[in-house]
This record gives sequence, structure tokens and C-alpha cells, in this order.
Amino acid sequence: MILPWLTPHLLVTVLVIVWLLVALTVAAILLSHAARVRTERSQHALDEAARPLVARFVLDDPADPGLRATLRDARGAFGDRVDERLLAVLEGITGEGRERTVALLVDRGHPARLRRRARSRRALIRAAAIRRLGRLALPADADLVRRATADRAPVVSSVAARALAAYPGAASAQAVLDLLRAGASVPQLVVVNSLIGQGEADEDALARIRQGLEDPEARVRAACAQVLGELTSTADAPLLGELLRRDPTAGVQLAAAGALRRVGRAGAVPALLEGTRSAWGPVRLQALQALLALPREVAAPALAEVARRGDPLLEPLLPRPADLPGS
Amino acid sequence: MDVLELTGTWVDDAVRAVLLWTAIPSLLYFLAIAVQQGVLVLMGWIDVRASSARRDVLDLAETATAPVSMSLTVVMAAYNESAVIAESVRSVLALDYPDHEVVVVNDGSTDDTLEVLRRTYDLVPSDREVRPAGSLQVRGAVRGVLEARDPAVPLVVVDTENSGRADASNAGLAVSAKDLVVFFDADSVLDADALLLAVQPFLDDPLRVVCTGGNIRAVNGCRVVAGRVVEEGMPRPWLARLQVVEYLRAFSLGRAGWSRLGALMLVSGAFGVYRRDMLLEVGGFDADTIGEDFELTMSLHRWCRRRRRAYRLVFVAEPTCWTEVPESRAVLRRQRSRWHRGLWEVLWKHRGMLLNPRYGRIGMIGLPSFWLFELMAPLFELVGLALILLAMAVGAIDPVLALTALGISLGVGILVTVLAMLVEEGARRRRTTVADLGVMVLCAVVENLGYRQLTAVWRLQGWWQALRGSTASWGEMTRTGFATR
Amino acid sequence: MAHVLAVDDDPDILELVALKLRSAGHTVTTAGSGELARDVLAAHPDIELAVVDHMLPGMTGVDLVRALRAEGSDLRVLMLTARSQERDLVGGFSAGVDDYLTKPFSPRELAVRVRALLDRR
Repeated sequence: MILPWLTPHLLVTVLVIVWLLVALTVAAILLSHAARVRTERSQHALDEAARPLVARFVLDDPADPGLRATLRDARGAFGDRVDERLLAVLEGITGEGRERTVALLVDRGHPARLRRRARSRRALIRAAAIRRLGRLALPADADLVRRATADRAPVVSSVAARALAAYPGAASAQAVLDLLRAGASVPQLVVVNSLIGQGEADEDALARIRQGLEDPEARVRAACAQVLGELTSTADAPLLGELLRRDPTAGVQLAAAGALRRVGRAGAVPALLEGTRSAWGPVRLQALQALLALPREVAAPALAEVARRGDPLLEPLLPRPADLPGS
Repeated sequence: MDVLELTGTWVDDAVRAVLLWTAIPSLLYFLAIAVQQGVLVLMGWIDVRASSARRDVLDLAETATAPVSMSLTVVMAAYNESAVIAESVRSVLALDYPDHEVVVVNDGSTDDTLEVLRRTYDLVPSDREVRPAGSLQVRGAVRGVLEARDPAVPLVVVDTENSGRADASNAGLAVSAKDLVVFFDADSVLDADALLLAVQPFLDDPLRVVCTGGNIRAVNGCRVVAGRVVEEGMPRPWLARLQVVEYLRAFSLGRAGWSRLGALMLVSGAFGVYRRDMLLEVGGFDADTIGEDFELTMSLHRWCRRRRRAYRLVFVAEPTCWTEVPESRAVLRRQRSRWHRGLWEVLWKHRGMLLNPRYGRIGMIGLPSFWLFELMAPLFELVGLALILLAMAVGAIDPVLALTALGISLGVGILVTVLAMLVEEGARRRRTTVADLGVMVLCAVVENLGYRQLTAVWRLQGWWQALRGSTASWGEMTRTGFATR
Repeated sequence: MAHVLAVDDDPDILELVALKLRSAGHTVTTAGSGELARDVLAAHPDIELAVVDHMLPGMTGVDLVRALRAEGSDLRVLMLTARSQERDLVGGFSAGVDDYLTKPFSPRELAVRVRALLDRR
């Protein structure tokens, strides 16, 4: 024998164990598959039943109080599907139908359930609950969602930031901006998108965002600049111009220049011209592109000035001299 | 039956000595690989559960409709793809993503690939330039840059001289102007929400994630309509079926497991999303290597670790890229031989990272694992098999015990595969039928009875070719088109 | 009073659209994808208007409209889209979409717009 301790007994035992495991795994696969298929089928059947009822209820056409009672009292697996269909509808429609749907979901006990789950120990459960509460957009939950932006798990605070689009206002805008202070765990994108939604919907939120241009935290200033650019209100051009000239941080200057590409006005030209002299390459590029986005007659003198300077980074983007009126 | 009795006792003793010396290492190797697979199964399982849970909270619709998003360029290098290019580009343009452009690089096709594109998308000369930045180099001469006349169609076509897929991809990278870059093959099929899902890690962890890789599956046997897989299915040819099972194991365990361990070693060129600035830092693909996607992944690791930068490479199990797998032995042989050659070249090129603590998990766990269990695996497998057979012939081992040992080896091989299948069942998106599951289990068995050994031989051939320094040929994949069943 | 086609891969929205238009008096046929929509249109030449979702699996809503216009169809098309950015809408209009309705939408507004498009003869 090569290896004395490699007894036949040992080998055979290992063999049996391995093949037993194989058999068990195959059984587990088949069972899991069967269970999944069965669940899907029953869910599908229940969905087919629930969907027309929910649609008729939402459209209230014809008005049918009995239908509301049926849906409200639905329990068990069917009740789950009714909930899913109601929530799906919530994402798609506005108006009376939406209000009716929210009222029914409240009657079915959702907010209470969701508020409980928002205190769960598991982050993903909290996040799912916050998301659903954001969809329902009940005024009573505004504080809860706002507080959730300070959650220790980034996925929860991310979801809360998105959900705050349903509660636009100064306090919500502040809560979202605070996410940029605490650390880098929530992507700037999520913050910016939430603020765009809020700024569009609410004047106070917009005012708060404008105030954010003077915030001590650079990321906040940059985010606010980007949001104002997306909201395309040319009234903000002067503020953005100031930011471009004065701000010590490259990222903020870049955001301001980028925003001015969208909302630039004649009055912003001096600031943009200064921007093309910035020490940071990307800022110079954005400032030039903002100038190029303005009507040619307005920006011509500034563009001529840039051309004279002969900056190699900006050279390829400059229009040919023939395209510049009166240079 | 002692075959060597006749030749004299000293040969007998010599053979026994050889067997004695190699038995323990072989056993150790077998145990080590079993442990490694076990760890990957566990990690793969955890990854699948975590992804499913995350998916529940994910709001793809919000990402899809967000006013501001991470912009993305899809770079497709195309060589003689006139049969599928129009449909492929259309389906990529139609992907659900708020801000993406498509850059097709015509790598000096000798058929009418460019003409098809020009006609279908009404291409006109473009102002865009191929501008290599950072340490990126583009070798193929650029013959022209075109774009779609309709400004609502974000398509750019770069026409270059033939310089290979890696260099063509680099040319595409040099034209792109978006935050992220996805490299994609013209003959693959993507799920509609693949981009949204593949980009998610960048949104979840914006400072650290530099690259994500998606799942890759065989499209043979699936029903493809309008550039999307509408029905999954197992292919008919057994060779393709065996590969389906292989890919399942490689991705559900291999990629998912390594990703969870924080040491994702390979992001496939067929479906990888990268940050553009990072790609420019490492100089894009290395056009001199065959395993260019593996090389790129290693370069990223190297670059980030040298600069002690907190970074992550993430495997995302849900977004799937469906690609055609070879159905002929000749093509498969060339492919496997090429892969192993590429593996060797890259491992050798980055040998400085091996067991180098500076490179953390990659150097201390990932690379040794790849050297031992990927590169040398075919060698050990074949030699191990030969040893047992030899041992049986010489009478050093009781034939029954030898068969038991083989039975264990077979069992473990099958076990790993069926565990991968079980992990996949835990992922909610799979839509296989019971019949297909049965076929897969059968494949798991059959695979170990010749297929594995055959691919091991091919891989060794590739390695040998690489060591001898002979040039490799790419080989043609005969295009069977998209609508296969 | 007209035969209308509703195309959406979201079954809940599809049900709502169909029900709303039926209660407005129209005959409604539904389809879950662009390809099925084409089959339906081929089988029912009397369809005058289609409510099409922008994002469909496979062939997108805009692709569908483009293909129909290329065949010379004068079907009226109302597109439902979740994206309201200008750049997304422009592409649709140039492909031949007649009108847009952004999601989330009001079912009442949907019926009104459908009516308006049908009257615009």
C-alpha cells in the first residue's frame, strides 16, 4: 500500500458521503424548483383574478362600494396579490385614482405595517419599507422618511433620499443635503436627482437649494450648483457665475461651469471668461463649453479673447475664426 | 495483476517509488481544490442571497428615469459581422438606460459590415475624434469616424484598419466621452435591463467601485426575438449542453464567489462595465496579450493597489449577456487552447504580484489559486488520472480501492456542479424547466467522463504552444445567426 | 367608438389603460410587446389608434412606431413614457409619434387625449 492510513474503510465512507451529498443536492434542486413553479403559478392565477378588480376599483367605473369592501377585506395569498397590484398601480397613475388607491392601502393597514418594518434591525427591510412609504406619500410619514436619511446603512439613506421626492420642501431638501456632509456613502447622483424633483415641485425647496450655494461644505455647493443647472432657471446664472469666480474648490467651480452650460446668460460671460483661466483643466473646458452654448454674438468677444490666449487644452474646441463674428 | 512483474524488480521498485512520492501531493492537491470549491460554493450562495435581497429594494424604474445619471458608452468591436451587426446595434440602442451611446468599431472588416451600418443608420461624417488620452494607445489606423444623421440616435461608428479586437476596443474607448464604458461583442445578446443592473454597484458605492462584471450564459438553445432572449432553453448538441453547465459553474461559483471574497480575478470582456477614467489610467486593453480581459482586470488591481486606493470590483449576477458557444469540436478546441494560453501569458506577465503582500488578497489568495487551480489544473488532472491507472496496472493499489478513489473524484466533480445548480435555483430569475434541469444533471455526470479530460488536453496544448512561443490563431466562429432553437 | 390597441409590458398598466378606454366606449385589443402589437395590427386593419409604452422589451415603442411609419401606416400613436426629458421626446416625435403622455398619468387625461387624437381627422 502506498499510504497505510488510507484504509479501504475510509475511502468507502468518503465515497458514500460524497454520493449521498450529490443525491441530496439533486433532490434539493428539484424540490426548490417545484416549490418555485408552484408559487409562481398560484401567484399568477391570483394576480389574474386581482388585477381586473383592482383596475375597476381604481377607475371607479362603475362606482361599486361592494368592490371596495371585497378588496379591503382580502386576506391571505389573495390579499398579498391585491396589495402588490395596488402598489404597482400606485407607481403608474395620478389623480383621483391614486387617492383612492392610497386610501384603500391605508385601510388595509399598510402604513402601520410599513412603519413597524422601518424600525427593523435588517437594513434591507427598513429600506423596502421606506421606499413603500415614499410611494404612499402620506403626510404623516414625512418625518419618518426624513429621519431615515440619517440611517446608519447607506442603502436605507439612499432610498430615503429618493423617497423624499414625495415630500418636497425646505426640511426635506436640508435632510438630503446633509447626506453630503456625513460622508461619501450616498452617491451624489441620488442626492442631485432627489433635489431636482424637490426643486421642481416646491418653492421652499428651491430656496433652500439656492442657499446651499453658500454652504461651508464643498460637496453641498457643488450639488446645489448642479441641481440649479438641471432646473434650468436662468435667474440663477448670476449666483452661479459668482460661484465660478470665487469658489476655492475645483469640484464646485466645475459644477458651476457645467450648470452655466445650461442656464448661461449674457451676464455670465465675464465669469465664464475668468473660468477659462482657471488652474484646473476640466473647469476651463466646461467654461469654454458654456461660452459656446451661448448665442454666438453674445460670446464672440470672449471667445476671441480665449483664442488669443492659445491654451492647448481649449484649442481643439474653439470655433474657426471665420465662424466668429467680428473678431 | 502485476504487469511489470515480467520486466524485473528494479523497474517495479522505481515505479512504486514514483507513485509513493506523487501520491501525497496528488492527494493534497485534490483536497485543496475541494476546499477551494467548497469556499466558492458558500460565497456564491451568499452572493446570490444578497443580490436577491438587494433587488427587492432596487427601483430600476427610478434609475431608468432619473434626470441625471452616470452616462455610459457601449463599445462594440466588430469584425465581419455583417449578418448580425444591424440587429445587434439596434438592440443595444434599445437598451433601457437613461443616457448611453453606442460606439461600433469596424475592425477592418472584409465583408460589408460598414456598408450595412451606413445604410441602416444613415451614417454621415462626424466631428468626433479618436483621441487617446492617459496611457492609452491605439495602433490601428483610423480611416474615419461616422455618426447617425438622426441626432436622436446616439451611434458613432469608427472605421479602422484591422488590428485585433483589443486594439479596436481601445479605439472605441478613445472616442467615448461618457463616465462609464461597457465592452460588448456584436454577436451577444443582452437583457433589456442589463445596463441598469450592471451600473447599480457604481451608484451604491461611487467612490470605490471601478469595474463590474455581469453574468454570461450560452444563447444556443434560447429563443431570441428582436435582440432579446424571450425563452431560455438547453441547446440540442451535447457539446453545447456541457458548456452551459460549465458556464453555470464558472459564473455562479467562480465569479460570484471571488467577488464576495473581494478578489474578483476576471471580468469578462464580453460583458464588463468600467469607469472610463480608470481605463485611461491603465491604458485600456493590452493588444499584445491574448487574454486581454483578464489582463485588464489584473492591471486594474495592480494600479489600485500600488496607489493604496480603496477600490472594488463587483460581480453582478443578475444582468446577463447571452453569447454563442461553439458547437463544433474544432472551434471549441481552439477556444480552450486560446483561453489557457491567454491565462498563462497574463499570469506570467503579472507574476510580480504572485504571493506579494503588497497586492493583498489578489496576490496572496487569488493569484496563487489561479496558478494552482486554473493554470495547473489540467496537468494535475491528467497526471493524477494516469497515476491511478498506472498504480492499478502495477498493483500498487488494490483495483477496488483505485476505483473507489476515482469514484470519489467523480462524485466531487459532480457535487460541485450540482451545488452550483442549486445556488442558481436560489436566484429568482432563472426560468428553467424540469427537463432542462435533468439534462444539466446528466451533463454534470457526463462532463467528468471524458469532456473534462478532453478540455484538459486542449488546455495543455495551448499552454505548450505559449511556452514554445508560437503564434496563436483566433479561428473563426461560424455565425449561426440569432434565431437559434 | 373606435378600435384601439394598447401596448405595454406592464400588465397592471395595460389593464388600466384597456379598462379606461373600454369604459370610454372604444373597443380595445391589448398586446404585451412590440412584436405582438405588429401581429395584432396585421390581423386587425380597422385599428385606428395605438397607446404604446415607450419602454418595451425587445423592440422599443419608438422602434415600433418607426417601423409602422416606414410601412406607410397612418395609425395614430399616443406614447406613454416615464421619461420627460426633452431629448427623449424629440426622438419619438421625429419617428412619427403623435402625442405623449408621461407616467405617472391620469386615466382621465388618457381618455381625453385619445379622443382628441381620434377627432383630429
